[in-house]
Amino acid sequence: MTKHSDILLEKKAKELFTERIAITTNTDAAQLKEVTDLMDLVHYKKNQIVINEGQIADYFYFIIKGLVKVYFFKNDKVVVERFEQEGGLFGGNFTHISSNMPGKYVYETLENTTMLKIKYSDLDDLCKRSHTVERAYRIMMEAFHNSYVERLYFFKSLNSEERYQAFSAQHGDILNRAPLKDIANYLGMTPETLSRIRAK
Amino acid sequence: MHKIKDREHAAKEMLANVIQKISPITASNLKKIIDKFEFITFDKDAVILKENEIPTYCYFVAKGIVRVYYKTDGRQIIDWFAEEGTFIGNLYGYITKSGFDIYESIEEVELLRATYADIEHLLSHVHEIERVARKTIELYYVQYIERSHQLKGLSAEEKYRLFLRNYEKFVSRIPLKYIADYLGITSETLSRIRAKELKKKK
Repeated sequence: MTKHSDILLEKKAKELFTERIAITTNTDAAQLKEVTDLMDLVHYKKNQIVINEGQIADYFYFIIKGLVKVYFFKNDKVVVERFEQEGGLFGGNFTHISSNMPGKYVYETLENTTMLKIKYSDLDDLCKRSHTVERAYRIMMEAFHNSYVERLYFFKSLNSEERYQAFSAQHGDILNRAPLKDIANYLGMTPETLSRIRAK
Repeated sequence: MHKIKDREHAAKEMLANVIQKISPITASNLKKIIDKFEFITFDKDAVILKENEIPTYCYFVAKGIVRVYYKTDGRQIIDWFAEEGTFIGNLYGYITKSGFDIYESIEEVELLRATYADIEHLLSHVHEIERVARKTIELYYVQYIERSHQLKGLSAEEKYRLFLRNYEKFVSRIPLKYIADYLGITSETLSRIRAKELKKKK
């Protein structure tokens, strides 16, 4: 990719990010320029690790294009925790809050992935200066928190077939983009069971 | 039995300490927050927020334990236990006018509560208070993941051991049935695990 096209892509990416945050947090888009000025465009190839187990996540990532698998190891077995796709945010392991936080999750691309990243400490400094940014960030955190609560609700209240139905209704495209074994792992079933349910 | 005024005062002092610990704040801004909270008590097993009720208040637990749960297919699933010094809130539910959580006391409880409308007003006007909210939500987000989502992929025994670690100080006050509902296992399975753990200790 040429430098020039990367500059255009970065501009487009920042517009996408601004639009998403402005809508979610009800913030004036112009006021988010201070945030996007601190962001850089990064590219990862398929099957690359963005944040590894044991690593402290210094950055937040916003996915422009691509798919990321979030997983952890439990007794040496992989447990897929979630998938993040276009428009998704991840990272920022909050080590200032809990020293146990680093190290649990691995973030790995399942496709070639383009993202914007921002350093947590830069965002934190900006929050100190800007009430608007701190507010937008707080509302984003609430949305994160809420999506976790909902995801847990989904796991605790549905059986595996219902989980598949709900997942396919909400994230149907991931079914075609992620490996079958990863989806089965995420839904808490064997690949054979998943194939059987899909055939129905 | 302490006078109600004394208990209210103690609760507000506790709230002030919790806030200061999360994010340092000037005395005048701290007072603005505290002044929005009113003192309220509930008996044991009282419903504080009903099923499908849109949340109006953010609560702070000064004394007692509240279980936060929801119902599905006639089963109840406990999301978490709110102990002394914690907030129970769903600002997102207030904004989106939705809510499926039920708050119920498992002991006599003393709470402080403030309306989301009042909180929202403070947040949008005072940056330092917005900062407190931001830090609080970050903290709760992290704790929530630590406590709840880690349960995924664990065996019943591992879940129970994790629960003991997370709720070490409060575990003796939480009925076994609720622990089973939190862990998503039957009371029988829980009894079996506890018997085994006890044997190990001997």
